[in-house]
Amino acid sequence: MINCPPAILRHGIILRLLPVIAASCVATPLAAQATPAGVIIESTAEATYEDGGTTRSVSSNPVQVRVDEVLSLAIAARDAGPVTVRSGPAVLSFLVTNTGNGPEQFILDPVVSVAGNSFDAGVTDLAADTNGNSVYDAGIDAILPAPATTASLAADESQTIFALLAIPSGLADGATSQITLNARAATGNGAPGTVFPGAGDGGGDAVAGASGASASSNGQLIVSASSVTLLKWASVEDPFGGSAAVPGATVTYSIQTLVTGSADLSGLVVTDAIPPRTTYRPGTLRRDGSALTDAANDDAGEASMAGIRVNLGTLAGGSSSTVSFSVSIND
Amino acid sequence: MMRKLLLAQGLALGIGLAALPLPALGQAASDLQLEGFVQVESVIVDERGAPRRGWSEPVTVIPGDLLRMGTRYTNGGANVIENFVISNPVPPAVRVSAVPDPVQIVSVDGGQSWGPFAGQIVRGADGTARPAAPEDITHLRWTIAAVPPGSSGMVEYAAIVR
Repeated sequence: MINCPPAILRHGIILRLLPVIAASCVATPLAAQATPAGVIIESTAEATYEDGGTTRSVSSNPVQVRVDEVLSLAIAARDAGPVTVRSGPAVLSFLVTNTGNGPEQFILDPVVSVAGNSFDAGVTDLAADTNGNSVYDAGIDAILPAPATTASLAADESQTIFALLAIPSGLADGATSQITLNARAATGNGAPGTVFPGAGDGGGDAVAGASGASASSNGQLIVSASSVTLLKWASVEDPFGGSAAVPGATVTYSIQTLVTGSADLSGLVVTDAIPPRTTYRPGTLRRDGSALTDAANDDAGEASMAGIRVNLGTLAGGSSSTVSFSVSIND
Repeated sequence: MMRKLLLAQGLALGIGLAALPLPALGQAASDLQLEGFVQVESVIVDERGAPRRGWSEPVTVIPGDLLRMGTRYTNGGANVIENFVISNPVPPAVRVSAVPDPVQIVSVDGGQSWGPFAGQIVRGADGTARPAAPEDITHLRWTIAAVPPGSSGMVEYAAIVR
């Protein structure tokens, strides 16, 4: 929806009636393949008639009107739903479309502080999708120098714009933020129907379209964060069938790694030293009940008289993994 | 901003009036004068300050503008003009918006065949036939049986800039 243009209360004045808002003040875009700006519409009538028994023909004068440039654009977030982010760099994608009838550049202006945000991201840069693959490619897709401006887009042409973001650290899991990308026609913008004399493509005027030659769209972010909790416990079996920690008893240590939050955590490695006055019992290293060899490099675990090391790799948010090994209490 | 709009429109009007088409004679011997015109629908503010829709002579238009495309004729001679037929090709950048009279003679094939609008059939790219819509019209034709000496008249159609 847009506002209805205000009535101009001066006598004898003829205003341009912006046809796209005439009936209901509801913004409707130009039809695709609108007549290009600068086209001359020429009309000539032909007539034949009988004058005293002689058939004659005559043409009217040609009447010409020129088609002005309508400044109009659309912008939309390209990401399907909120983009999951964590502390560090992130990218939001927007599609800017020239819905006018002449070539036009559009000036881009990101706003990071949006009502309802639980945090504000930083915008490092805006970039154009130079290679047209809809994915930001660092070093290939051109960073737009300030003021960030699209290439000249032909009527109905679109360009993908990337907002390169810096997500702050210390954010809670599930925190959300929106970023608004404002775009406006480089020729000018203003209330619908605003005329920019002589600024249109093809020598005519430029006229702000139903959206006022500006548009905006919000991209959404949601933070995915996780933390790791380690829990270690021991059980003892003595040589006499009891659980006394006496020389010769076997102590089995268990270390549970618990990932809390929505994010996967990768590169998780559990290490533990063999306690003094105990001796590692070879072949007792396990992960989630499955045996691991003591040797290095043949599986995710290794154990020696010094200690154990298990590479857990990636754990999904909310999951856990338990490593266990046994030692004997020295005599 | 609105001041700029008013100035610009005033300028356009001035040019429009100055550029009002002059009658052109197709043949030196002709006593018939044809004068083509185009008007665009505009908002006109009346004496009481109320906006009304009206028509003005445009120099420029934008896609979606509603135009009134017409031809005025005058018999400037001493004889009655008979079987007066005016044909108006529809410029490709506009489309006819409505045909109030179903028996209006039109062509939907670039002027090769003519007939009442209500009976016109067009074929799509897949060969299926359908009744013609106003935007299919390529030409309009009016026939006036007699134009007495000194009399004048006007034919017109409504079109929208594509």
